[in-house]
Amino acid sequence: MRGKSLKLIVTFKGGTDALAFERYCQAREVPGRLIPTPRALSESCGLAWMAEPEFRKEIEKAAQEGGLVFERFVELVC
Amino acid sequence: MFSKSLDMTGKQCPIPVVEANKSFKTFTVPGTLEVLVDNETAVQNLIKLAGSKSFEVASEKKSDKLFSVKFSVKPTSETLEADEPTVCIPDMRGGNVVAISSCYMGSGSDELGAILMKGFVYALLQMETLPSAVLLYNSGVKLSCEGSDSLEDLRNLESMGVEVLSCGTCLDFFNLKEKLAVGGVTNMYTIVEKLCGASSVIKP
Repeated sequence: MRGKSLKLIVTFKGGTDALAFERYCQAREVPGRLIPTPRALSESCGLAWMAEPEFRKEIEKAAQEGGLVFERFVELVC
Repeated sequence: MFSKSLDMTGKQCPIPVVEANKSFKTFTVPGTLEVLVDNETAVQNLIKLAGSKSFEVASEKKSDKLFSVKFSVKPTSETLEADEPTVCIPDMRGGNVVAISSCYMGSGSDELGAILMKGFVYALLQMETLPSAVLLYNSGVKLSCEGSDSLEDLRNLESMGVEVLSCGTCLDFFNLKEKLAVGGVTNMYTIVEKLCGASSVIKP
């Protein structure tokens, strides 16, 4: 099992929002990647964006500029 | 940043774990400890040690008999003073073999299938018991080639001792021989041997 560390997780209400988030962020080289939503956040849809916590501001800015729809930002050890 | 290195090649578990634990206690400021070992079991036990200390850790396979495990050591009284029993488990790899025959998981939508496959490879890394091998064939070989979103995850699996093998015929068919970016190239005999010898075969 890979070592766990604190990560920033962005959750979404639906998969379409997650895919739009990935497309926007990848095109602009915003740090992070799409992962299956950690079990601890299973109230959300099956996909989540994961990045290092220090990129939080950059990701929040991208989400705002791109008008991206997300549920919440969570910091979680995973 | 403070950094230290420990050469534990030739040492069997629990020695690398014990020595790494001792070395953590010499850190008075945050820094990096690199431990070199020559077997996958030691890598897995060192990663487990990092988890018990809440240190970030990264492992890398440098060659067949050389692995590097890098800890980001954060000296706090809780993490360094606690003298936990030495963690030493035989091997986190079970006898399972993962056979990936397509770059998509399931059928219906290729776009969704690619996302699900990316998630599958990521989730494999999170399992307590890792597979002994990941076999990639047909369009599954696209996952181990340049440009794949799963490269980092496959490299992490390999660094933890999981064999990552791509079918040579398939790489050739897709003109990807020069683009292979992780693991080795294999043939049908080895694929059949691995599948027949597996305690179970997982096919996403």
